[in-house]
Amino acid sequence: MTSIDFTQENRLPLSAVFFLIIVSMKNATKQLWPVLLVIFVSKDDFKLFWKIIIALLVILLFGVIRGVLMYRNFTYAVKGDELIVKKGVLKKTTLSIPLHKIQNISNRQGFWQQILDITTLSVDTAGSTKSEMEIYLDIKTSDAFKEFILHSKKESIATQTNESESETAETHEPAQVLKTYFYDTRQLMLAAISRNHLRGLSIMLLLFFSAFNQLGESLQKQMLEYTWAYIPKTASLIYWLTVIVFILIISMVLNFVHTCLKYYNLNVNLYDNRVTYKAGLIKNIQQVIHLDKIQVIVQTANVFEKMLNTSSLRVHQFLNLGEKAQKEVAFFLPGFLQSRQLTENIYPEMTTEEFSEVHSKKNFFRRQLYFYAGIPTAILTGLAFFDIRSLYLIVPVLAIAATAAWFRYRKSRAEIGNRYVQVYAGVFGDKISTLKVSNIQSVKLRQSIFQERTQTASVVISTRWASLNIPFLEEQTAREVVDYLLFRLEFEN
Amino acid sequence: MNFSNNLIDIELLPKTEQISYTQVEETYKKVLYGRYLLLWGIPTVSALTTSFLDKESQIELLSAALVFLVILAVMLAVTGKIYEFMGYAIRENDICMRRGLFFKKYVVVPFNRIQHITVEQGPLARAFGLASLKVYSAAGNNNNFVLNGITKERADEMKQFILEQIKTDDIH
Repeated sequence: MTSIDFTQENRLPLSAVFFLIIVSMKNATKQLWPVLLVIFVSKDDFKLFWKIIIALLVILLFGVIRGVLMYRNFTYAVKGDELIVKKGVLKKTTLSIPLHKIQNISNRQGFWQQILDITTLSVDTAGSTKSEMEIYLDIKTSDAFKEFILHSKKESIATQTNESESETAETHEPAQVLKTYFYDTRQLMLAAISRNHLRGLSIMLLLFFSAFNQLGESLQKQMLEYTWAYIPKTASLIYWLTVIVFILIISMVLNFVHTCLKYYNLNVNLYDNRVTYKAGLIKNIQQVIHLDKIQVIVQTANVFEKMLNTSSLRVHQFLNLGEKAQKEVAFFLPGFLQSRQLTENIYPEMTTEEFSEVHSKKNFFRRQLYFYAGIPTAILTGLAFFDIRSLYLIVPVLAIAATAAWFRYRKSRAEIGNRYVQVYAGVFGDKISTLKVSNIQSVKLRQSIFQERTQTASVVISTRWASLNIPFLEEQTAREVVDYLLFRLEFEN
Repeated sequence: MNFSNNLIDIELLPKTEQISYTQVEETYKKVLYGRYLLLWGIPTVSALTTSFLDKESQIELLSAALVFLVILAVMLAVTGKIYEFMGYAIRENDICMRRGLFFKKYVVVPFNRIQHITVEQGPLARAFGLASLKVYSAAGNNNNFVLNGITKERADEMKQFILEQIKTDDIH
C-alpha cells in the first residue's frame, strides 16, 4: 500500500504528465487535421518534409504546454463524503461526487498507459451516460485509491443509514474470492479458433471486391490486366473458390490474432457480491460488476463452438437508473469451456430451482419456413426469367431453409421457475438467455391474426437490457405464463 | 421482512384473460378517421391533381392515386374494428391495455416497475378533447405503454392515481 493521504489534495503521479502530453497532442491533431490537410496539399515554396517537421513541432509544443498546465491544475481528494476533482487550465472546473452516488469504478489501460505504467480510473454515477471523471494514476495508487473510495463509501452509507456497529465492522474484511476463471493458452486457442469466421469472411470479401472495383475504375489503362477486364468471362468455379478460400484464410488469421490480443490473460474473479473482469494485451480492460445489477446472461454457441464443446458468455449489466441515461456494460467470454458453471456460480439458486418447460408449437416451424424461404425463393424466381438455371438453386435453398426452420422450431423453448427464467433459441447455434424474474420490467402478449386462428400467442418479456421473445406458445399456456410472471413481479420483490 | 415461498396453485392466479377492458371514448373513432384521411387522403388528392396537370405520366399518377384510395378505404373500413378492440383496465397492482388489429397486443405494466408518466395531446385529439397517457417502465424503447383516446380529465385522473400507487410501492 502506498502511504498517500487521500483526504488531502493530491497531484497526479509524475508519469501522468507524459500521458497528458500524448493525450493533448492527439486532441490537437484530431481537431486540426483539416487545417493540416490544407497546408500539406496547398502548393507553395516549402517542401513537404519541412512542412511535416514544422507541423509536428507545433503539435508537440502545444501538447507539452497543455499537458504540463493540465498536470499542474489537476488535483483530487476525498473530503468528508465527497470525491472532489479540480481541473482545467482556462476553464476551471471543480467536480464533486457524493460517495454514495458512485455506481461503478473501473480501470482502463491503453497502449501508451501500459508503457508509462499508469491507468485511467473512471468513476461513474447514475447521472449521465459518459463517465463523470477520469483520473490518471499509477497502478499501485489507483488500487489503493479505489479501495479507499469503496471503503469510505461504505462508511458514509453506514453512517447515513445508522447501521449497527457490527455490520460496519464486517465490511472492513477484505472480500473473499469465491471462484476464479482464467484463460490459459489452451482456452485462448479454443476461443480464437471458434470465433465466427464467416462474418469476418463476408466483411473481407466486401472490402476486397469494393477495392477491386475502385482499382479498376481509377486506373483503367495502367492496370487493366489486374482487374475485371482481365478475368475471362468464363472464369471457372474453381477460380472463384480459390479466391474465396484465400480470403477466408486471411480473415481467419486476422480474427485469430485479434481474439488472442483482446482476450489475452482473461481473468474473472467472483466475489460474494460482485464480479471482476480483466482482459487484453494492448488495451487492458478491467471491470467490476455488482451481481444485483446483472440483467441478463446470454450463452451462445456457434457451430464451431459446439464442435469444440465451448460457448460464449455475455453478461449484460444495467448501470444508470436515470430516465434517459441508460447504459449497458457487457463483459464477454468467447469460446469458454465453463460457461454453465460461471452462470450457475453467479446465480447459485438456479441449481435447485424447479423449472417448468414451455415449448413453441408447430406453427412456429411453418412461420419460420416462410420467413427463411420466402425472400430467396422470390428472388430466384425473378432471376429465372433471365437465366433458367437459377431455378435449380431453389431446391437447395428450400432444403436449407427447411432445415434452419426445423432447428429454430426445435430449439425454441423456455423454462420458467420461481426466481429464474431461461429462454432457449438458436438456428444452427445455440442461445440460452438466463434472467432473474425480479429483473423483468413488463410482460406482453402478442397475437397476430394467423396466430389467433391457430390458438397460439407469443410472450415478450422485457428487461432493462432488451426484450426476450418466447414465440408461438399455445394460447392458454402463454396466458398462464404471463399471469404467473405478473404474479411474481407484483407480489414478491 | 419475512420471506415466504409457498407453492402457488396455478388455478388461483389472477387471470389477465378475465379482465373486462374499458373501451376508449367514442370520439376517438373520429380522431382515427381524421388521422387516416390526412395520412392517405392528402397523397390521393395530390396525385389526382398532378395527374391533370402532367399529361405525360397521367396513367402512373392515376394508378398511384387509386392505390392510395384503396388503402384509405381499407383503413376507414377497419377503423371500427380497431376501435372495438382497443381497451384498458386498471387492476390492484398493474395497468393493462390491449390494442392492434393484425397484431394484437396485450400489455401489462406492474405499478412497481413504472418510472414516469406523461399526458400528451396532439392537435387532432385536442379538437375532440382527448389525450393520450404514456407510461414508461425501465424496459427498452419499444415497450412503452401508450393509451390513446381517453379524455383529458380521465388521463389526469389516471396519472394521479398511478403516481399515488407508485409512491406507496418501492420502485425497482
